Amino acid sequence: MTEADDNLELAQRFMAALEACDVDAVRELYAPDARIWHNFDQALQPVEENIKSLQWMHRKLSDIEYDIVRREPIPGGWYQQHVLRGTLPSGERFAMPACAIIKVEDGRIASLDEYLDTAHTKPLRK
Amino acid sequence: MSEKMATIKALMQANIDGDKETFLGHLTDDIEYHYHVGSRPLIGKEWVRKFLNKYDEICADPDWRIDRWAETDDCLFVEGYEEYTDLRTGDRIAHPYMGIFEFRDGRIARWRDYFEMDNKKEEGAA
Repeated sequence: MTEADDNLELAQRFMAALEACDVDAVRELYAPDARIWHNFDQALQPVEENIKSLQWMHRKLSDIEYDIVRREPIPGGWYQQHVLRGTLPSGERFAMPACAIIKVEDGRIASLDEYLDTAHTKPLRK
Repeated sequence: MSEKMATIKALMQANIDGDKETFLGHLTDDIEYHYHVGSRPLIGKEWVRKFLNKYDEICADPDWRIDRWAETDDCLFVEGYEEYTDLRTGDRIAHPYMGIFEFRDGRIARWRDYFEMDNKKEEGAA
C-alpha cells in the first residue's frame, strides 16, 4: 500500500465513523491535538468540540450520509468534495455541499479544513 | 510553478487588468463555473462573460489571493482569500474560499468555489 492508499482508506473509515456518529472511532482517527478549522468562523476547533458538533448534527438529522462527489489523494492527506445529506425532523431532506482538505500525520488526522456556506445549514437551526 | 498554477495566476492577472477576453481564453467553451457551490452553475463562456460584467457593476477594489494549493493530474485545489466592496451597499465583503479547478487540454473546464456568501468584513479584521 502506498501512502495515498493508506490515506484514502483512512478517509473511508473516517466518513463511516462520522455517518454512524461513532464517537470513539472519530476520536481515535483524529490526532489528540488535531486542528479543525471552518471557513465561516475561521476558528480552530479542538477534537472534543468537533465531536460535540457531530453529536448535535445527529440530533438534528437522521439517515446522515456523506455523498462523496470527488476525493483525491494529495501529498500528506486527501481532498474531498461532498454533500452532507440527511432527513430533518419534518421529514424533509437536507443537503449541504462542502469541501475539505485533510492532512494526515502518523496515520491519524492532524488537520481538517472545511469550506461551506452556513446559509445551507439554516434548516438545522429552526 | 506548475502549468495549472501558472494558468490561474494569468487568469487572476487578467481579472486585475479587466481583460475579459484573456480571462475567458483560459476557460473551455463548455466551462461549468460554480461561482458559489449550491447556486446554479454558469455553463459556457457567454454566461461567464455576463457574470463578469455583472461582477464589475457590483464589486470594486477586489483583493483575491491564493494562500495554499495542491494538484493532481487534472485538478488544482486552492485555498485563499477574497475581499471586495459591494457597490450596492458599500459593505466590504471578505471571505476565505476554496476553489477547485478541473483542467482539459490546458484550460479550465470546471470551476467550483466554496465560501460563505454573506460575509461582511468586521472592523479591524485583517
